[in-house]
Amino acid sequence: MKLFINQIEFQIYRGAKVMDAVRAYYTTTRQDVPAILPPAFDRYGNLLEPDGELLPEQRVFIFEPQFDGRHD
Amino acid sequence: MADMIKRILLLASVVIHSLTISVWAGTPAPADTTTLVLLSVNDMHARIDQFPQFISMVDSIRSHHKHVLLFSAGDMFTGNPVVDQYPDKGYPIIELMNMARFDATATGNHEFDYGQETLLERIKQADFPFLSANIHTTGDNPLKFKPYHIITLENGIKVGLISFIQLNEAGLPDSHPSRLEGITFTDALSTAPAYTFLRDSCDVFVALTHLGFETDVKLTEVFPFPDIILGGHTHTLVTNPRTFNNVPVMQAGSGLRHVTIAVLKVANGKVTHLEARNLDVRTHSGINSQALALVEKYNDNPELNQIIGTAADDIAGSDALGSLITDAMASVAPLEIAFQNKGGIRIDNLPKGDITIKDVFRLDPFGNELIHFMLSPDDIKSLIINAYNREKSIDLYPSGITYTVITNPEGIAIDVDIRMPDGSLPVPGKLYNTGVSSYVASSYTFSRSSEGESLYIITAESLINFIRSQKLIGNSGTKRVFVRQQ
Repeated sequence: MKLFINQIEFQIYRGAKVMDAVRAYYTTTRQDVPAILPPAFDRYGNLLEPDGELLPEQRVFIFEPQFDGRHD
Repeated sequence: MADMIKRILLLASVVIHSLTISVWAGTPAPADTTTLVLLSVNDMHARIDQFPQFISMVDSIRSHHKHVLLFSAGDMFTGNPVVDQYPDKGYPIIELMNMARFDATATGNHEFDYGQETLLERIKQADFPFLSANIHTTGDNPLKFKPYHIITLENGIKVGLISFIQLNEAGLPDSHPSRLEGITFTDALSTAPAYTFLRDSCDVFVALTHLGFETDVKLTEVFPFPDIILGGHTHTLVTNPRTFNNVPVMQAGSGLRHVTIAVLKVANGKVTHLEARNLDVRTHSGINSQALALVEKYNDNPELNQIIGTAADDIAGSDALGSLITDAMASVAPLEIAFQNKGGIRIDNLPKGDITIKDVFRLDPFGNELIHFMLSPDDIKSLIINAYNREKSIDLYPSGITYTVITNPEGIAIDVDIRMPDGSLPVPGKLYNTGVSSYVASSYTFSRSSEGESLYIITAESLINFIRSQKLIGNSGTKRVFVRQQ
């Protein structure tokens, strides 16, 4: 299913959880997956628990200390 | 774009510490106003350890308010071996929910994880109804779900509940399709308008949903009639309570760490004031001793020491243990090939002799789910090569194939020789049903010929089932992975 993390669109398997999506985001953007994943939020600023289930085309946001809003 | 992301994250960082907010305020309350307190938890996922605090908290609220209703917004099962491996799977949390005096639950997708027969037994044991308006069973199926439920308070005030379950892109709840046979599901957003009549049939109208927060928001667009939506599924901890189409939408995270409390003032047959927020159960100082004794009894469950099979000899090292795990994964339909990463193998040796459920969770403790992909031989090669080069050594242990990584003089994997169990080459272009853990599925880079889907079974569960079916395990000395320099 299609997902967005920090506005980056990518595909992930059906049934993926928030932590799976965050890991896949790092893989997709060719970054090392951190040992401790950052907290994730929905578009309304609510906290998403790591084991939370995802909806198709959901938009998820995470803190990235070095992220400037652009990805090559 | 960057500004938008920063705004959302700034919002999150500010409100996470300020959970209390009035989501809707009406006119001053008339004298004959009734105060109704709604408590809702969701996605407890069999985490029973918090129940002693939780029940104490609920009892404390009940001691201060005459009218308190307690709800679950679904997914009470799956996530704790103490509950999931109990002989009557899931019963411990039903007993604790009965003790807490739940008034109703939404039916979540994970309620189907133990199978329909088990779910039917749990429903019979529960002192509260399982609701869902978009689950439909035929006449001869004893499994039935009430679409709605109306609770009448002592003073005659009627509280109506409607419930819906999430469906994925295949039109099914997120559970293994084999557990859903004979049941039909209809889309919540198209089903909901048929229940508009409930708005006028009760004084307080609550949607107790298992749809996920963003679908709850969509529900308010086609069904803006509930006084509040108490939802579940996405494990959203609402730190920023607000209304959508004048309907407050709440959700309380997961694992019974939080509970939504909504305080409603009801007068002249309608809600005149509503405040909602999430409370942290872990900060409550009281403990219900009866619940504590029950939780301790379940946590001391000898079932986890139950012998499920026998190791014919020591099963030692990553090759043998990885092969055991992947043989178990590959035994789950429709898989024919499976991979386990080295980091997911958490013990060095499964000693000769009895194997218990506890042993399985020591070997494979992470709760990773089994993910199914259709992979071609080239896809499988890309997975193996990337995994090898990521770890600079053998990382993936297979079932259904053996393989030899071919490296250049610098030790970089450049090719893989894959063999089927009979020594033949895999068929070029053929897509093989391949299973990997959710960790590998999300963290490893590989090409894939299908989007992939969870089989909604954790790898440890597949291992327990496999050992039970095999009884005698003889993976000692198994080696399926080799490295050769070009």
